[in-house]
Amino acid sequence: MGKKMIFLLIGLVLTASLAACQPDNPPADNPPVQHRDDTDWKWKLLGFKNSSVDKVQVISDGRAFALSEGKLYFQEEGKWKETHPGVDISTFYPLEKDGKTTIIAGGDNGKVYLYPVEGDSWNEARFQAVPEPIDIITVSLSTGEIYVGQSTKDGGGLWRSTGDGTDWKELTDITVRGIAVHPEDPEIIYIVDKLTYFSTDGGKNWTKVETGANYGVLIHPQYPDTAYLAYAQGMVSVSHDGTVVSQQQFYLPGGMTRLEFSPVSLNEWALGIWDYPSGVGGLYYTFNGGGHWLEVEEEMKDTRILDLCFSKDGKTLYIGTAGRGLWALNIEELKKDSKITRYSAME
Amino acid sequence: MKKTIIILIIATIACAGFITALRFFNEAGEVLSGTRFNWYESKTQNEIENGNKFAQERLSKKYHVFVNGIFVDIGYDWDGIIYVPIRTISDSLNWIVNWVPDLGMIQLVKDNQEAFVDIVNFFGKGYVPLDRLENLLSLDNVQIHGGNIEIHKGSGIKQSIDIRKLPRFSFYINGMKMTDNAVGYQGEKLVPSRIFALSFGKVFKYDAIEGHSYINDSRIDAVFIGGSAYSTLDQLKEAVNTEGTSFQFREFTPDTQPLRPVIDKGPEEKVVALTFDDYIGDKVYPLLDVLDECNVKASFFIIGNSIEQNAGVLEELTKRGHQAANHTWDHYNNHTLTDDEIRAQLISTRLFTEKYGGKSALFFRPPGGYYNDNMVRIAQNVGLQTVLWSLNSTDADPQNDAKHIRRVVTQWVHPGAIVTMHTGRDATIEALPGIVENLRDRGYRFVTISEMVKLKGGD
Repeated sequence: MGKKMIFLLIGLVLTASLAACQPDNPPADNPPVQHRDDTDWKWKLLGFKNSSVDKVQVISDGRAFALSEGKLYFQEEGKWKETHPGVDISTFYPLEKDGKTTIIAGGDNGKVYLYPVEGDSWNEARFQAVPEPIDIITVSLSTGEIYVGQSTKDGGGLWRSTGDGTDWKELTDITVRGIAVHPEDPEIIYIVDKLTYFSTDGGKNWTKVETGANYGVLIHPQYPDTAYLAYAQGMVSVSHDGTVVSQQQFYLPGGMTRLEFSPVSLNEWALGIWDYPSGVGGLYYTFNGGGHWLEVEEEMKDTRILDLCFSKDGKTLYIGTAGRGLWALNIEELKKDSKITRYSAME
Repeated sequence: MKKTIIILIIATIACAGFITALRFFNEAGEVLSGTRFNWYESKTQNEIENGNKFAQERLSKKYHVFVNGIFVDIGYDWDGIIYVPIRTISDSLNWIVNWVPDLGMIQLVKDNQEAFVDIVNFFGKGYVPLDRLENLLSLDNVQIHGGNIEIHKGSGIKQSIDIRKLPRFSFYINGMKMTDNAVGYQGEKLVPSRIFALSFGKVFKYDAIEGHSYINDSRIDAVFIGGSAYSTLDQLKEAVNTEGTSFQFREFTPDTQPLRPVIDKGPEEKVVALTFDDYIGDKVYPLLDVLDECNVKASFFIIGNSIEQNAGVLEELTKRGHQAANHTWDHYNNHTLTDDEIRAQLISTRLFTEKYGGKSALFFRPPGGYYNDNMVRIAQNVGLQTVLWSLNSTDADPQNDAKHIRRVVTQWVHPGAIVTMHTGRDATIEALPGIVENLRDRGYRFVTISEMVKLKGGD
């Protein structure tokens, strides 16, 4: 009798209490924020705590660039440095060339501005679109050419610069919200807005892709034989002759706000989902090409994702949010996590 | 030491008792009738209540959308982005609007222009951000002021007569109040053309470019009052077959009638009402056969726009003794509609149910359980009593199979349960025989909603 029996009884009571309190559907587990040391962390709030981050980009040395409320910020000696060319910025792309980084920024006024990170001044490019916000800027990975797209009610188009932003040529007056350039063959270009078009001759001629999927377009840097066209609930894959190869629906509770591929795997995607009428959603992640989706709750629960960007090694996901700042998620830690809800893609 | 041991033994016994009671509650909901407590029933009520509270909050920042001066629909501010209904606005600017189900997108077509648009779907209505629509339709001007969004395109802006300067009337169709916004103008009584058309299940279109109104492609004469098209009854009868229908204008008087109670449960007797919501179609026939085999009469809450094309189904349903009640014309969330639009949704469904089914049960179930006191009063104005449910069978989720549905219903049934199920679900049909057998074995009998209301002491 004695202590042994008492411990046994305590164990019995605790077991019974736990069993009695177990509900049919246990509520979602929300562990506390996990800030660990520099080598073993899962979430990091990088800044902009109560602000929105519309766009985030990361360059080869790991420095992040963020667009928040019309102003550009970049990391310098561990701190955020603010800069803007005197007008609100609507989008940007950090161009890395010859060991130097230049920010190519689109203004709310339809102009393009250049900012060498090593310098400290903005230069206006000899470029003018409709005096409305520039929608997208991207760069060809094979040539470093800069592409600018715009879509407004008064028109828009696609422009290309072959000279680091100093000279510009209009490729088409089709309005553009999304651009993807083949990472190895710069002649293959996709543009999306009201419809989706592709060119196989560097933008001289454009052919319509027979799909309505026009949310955005992605070409994986390591597996570039297919273009992926997103729509609110899924994705369509297209070969470079314009043939729709497959369609995949995600069956997630809401519409897509952002989709990004891991640069090191064609099967790893990060996805922002938001249901506007109900005001709920968050971050989803797949390790098997959309076969199963993991609802990454914790810091992203019911958070509207505005932009996603992987680090070059695919180990860190940078997440721009509406009103909750800029976060980094350690993908290696995510893989270990079992406290995630799984959704199955239904065939 | 002895004292501690005794305390621990008592605690153990108490826990064991609690576990047993919990199991008992979980496995046999009806045992709890004496305590008037059923966890699932309470959960169901909370879900409906919280859903309504949440919807009203999300829809509280609303904008009335006018195209060239004429009201077309309502938009909302969600998370700082203004969303507007794409179909009504595009249609008024003469874009053909096609739904592409594979992609969940809208295709817009006009002349040689084409665009695909991602939408946010809210109870069957598609919404897009206002600035996206502005680009897509190349709108000339969009102004937001007060609670209004004014969209201008072309030169056809309509000037409206101020409704506040005109005498107001209430207008009734077959004794059902259609609107309190009928007016007297230049010696004639006029009714809102759009609401009249919707009340007869017709398509109303306002061509904002030409400035003309149409009912099912027939142009109607109209004057514009308070941002809406108004016509005389004679003008409207030219576009709508109103044979066998009576109309009445009454002096506008505030409605002070007490509200009839919302029925969410029957009496504390071992009776159960099986109810089936949504569209009718061919899949209702096997459901009717199973109900016959089980000798159960059920209540159907039917979406009105599925009636005319499935008139034979409705006829068969009522012939076999089931009740046909009202689930609105389009199954929209009622919180997104104006009062007159809700009335039109109910009137059209009731008119079609009576036309093709011979009679309708005078009950209304709000889609998704989205309702408030105002909607209960509106339903009452149309002669309907509002009915919810106390036991959600969960068959609306396509992932739930027959076994799951049967388990939920048999586990959580309670005296006076109103079970909500849905038409067009194979799993529901498969689950029914097991549910009926199980409940009958436990002493339950099956009734319609009308019978349940009578048992409860209602009309």
